[in-house]
Amino acid sequence: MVDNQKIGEEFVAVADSQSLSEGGFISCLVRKEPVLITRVKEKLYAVSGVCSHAYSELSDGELEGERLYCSLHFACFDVRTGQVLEGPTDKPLKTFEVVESEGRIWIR
Amino acid sequence: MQTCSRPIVIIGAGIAGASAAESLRNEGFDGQILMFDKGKDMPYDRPPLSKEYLLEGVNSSIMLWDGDRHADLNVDVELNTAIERVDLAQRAVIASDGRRWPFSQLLISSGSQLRRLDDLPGADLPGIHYLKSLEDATNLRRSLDKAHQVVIVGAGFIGSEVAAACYQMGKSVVMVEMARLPFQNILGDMAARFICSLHESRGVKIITEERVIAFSGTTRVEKVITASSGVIPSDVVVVGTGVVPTGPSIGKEMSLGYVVDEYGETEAKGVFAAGDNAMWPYRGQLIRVEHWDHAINQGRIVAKNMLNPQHVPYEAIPYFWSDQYDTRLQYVGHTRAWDRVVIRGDLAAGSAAVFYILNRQVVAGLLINQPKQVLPVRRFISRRTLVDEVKLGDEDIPLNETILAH
Repeated sequence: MVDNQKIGEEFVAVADSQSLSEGGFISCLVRKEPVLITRVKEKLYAVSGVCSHAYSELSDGELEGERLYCSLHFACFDVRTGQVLEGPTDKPLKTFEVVESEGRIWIR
Repeated sequence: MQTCSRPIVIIGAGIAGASAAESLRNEGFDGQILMFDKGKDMPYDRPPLSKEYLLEGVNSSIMLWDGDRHADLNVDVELNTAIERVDLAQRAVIASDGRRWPFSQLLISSGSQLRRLDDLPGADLPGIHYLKSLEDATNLRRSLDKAHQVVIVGAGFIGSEVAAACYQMGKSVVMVEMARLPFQNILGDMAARFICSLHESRGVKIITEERVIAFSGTTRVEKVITASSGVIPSDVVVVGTGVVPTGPSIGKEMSLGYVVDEYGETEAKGVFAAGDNAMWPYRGQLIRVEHWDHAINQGRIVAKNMLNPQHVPYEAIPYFWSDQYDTRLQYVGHTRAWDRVVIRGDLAAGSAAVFYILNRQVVAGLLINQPKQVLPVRRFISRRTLVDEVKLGDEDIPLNETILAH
């Protein structure tokens, strides 16, 4: 987990850019909500950090390209859109706006 | 698609049946779906019944289909209706009261029923509970309110989860188990002892190699009598001695389950089975799996094969999880035979991956509080990875470096 530093009204700085490498993910809390941020093919994506199916932290899972697997019941989501690709749920993951600026990652 | 005037019939509104119905709609089937269940409830989730539900009680999230979900899916659900027979020649299902309904294709997802101890003296005393349905869980929960001493017959997964829940409610708990060591046949000595230690370290007693022969009490159960003349005081008894497959006759012996092919289809064309009662081919063996993950996935695959014959084989790696106290157990694979068990991690500290190895291949894995390892272990099993057993036991060596070959 990364400490949040609030600036401005809406975007929250959640991590240093260098803490998230290509193909990796980090988790953080944004306004008490767990969020998982990934870097896939140089682009950043942010989705809910908790599986939409049953309570399970997605940071326990795995990222294969754009595919994010949950470790509890193997639901699989597209991190770009939050859409379900396979598994026991039809409910997509919530997505968040994410930007990179001044060496930091910001979430809204 | 087959005759559209006849519905697809699903017997059993459990997890496999509900999953199949949802998948039929997701796959674009717009004909009639008719679902039967002998119980009184719309599809609900079962895993919480032995865990959160006992502790926390009614929680709407237990319903898989709440409100108008069945109407949104356009599934006709006939509750309180037991289907007793299948007329294969006329392609119809027949209820115990003689009513019949035609079908185009049939899914038998009627699951399993409890092994009961009805023959034992005192078996009908109030306070003796079984746990299978939502109704059972509601009754047990009510009964536990006033109970201090809980005796659990059978130290399997249901028994263990109920024991953990009762302990968390402040009850005094004793488990009675016939085997020398509970879970030994599926998990081996070391992991089985670890699970027992979860209970025993909290003062939950496990009496092994012991059989219950009677219950006694005046208006309610007060004592459990065992074969070695033990008398265990009890306010509530929970029997968790396993289940057997159940469902209507389709002309063949099915006491061990309905034999299906890799598409979930029985020998009778257009008649499928999924979930607890299906005997399906897994790596050259017919197996039956009584777990949630299997019910969901096989139900889904069967739906696809109903719409598009022999389209998608069911190639799942069986998986189940169990939460006991603060420990999450996750098991992937299926085997009753292994030539070596490798422990990676610290079993005593409650964090380890236990690998079951046959001919240098990982055939199953038990993850103890190590959710991050589930996906890699599952991959080892599905790819039939050959592993270096010595390296595998060393947590300092990355998992990828334990691979000899795929």
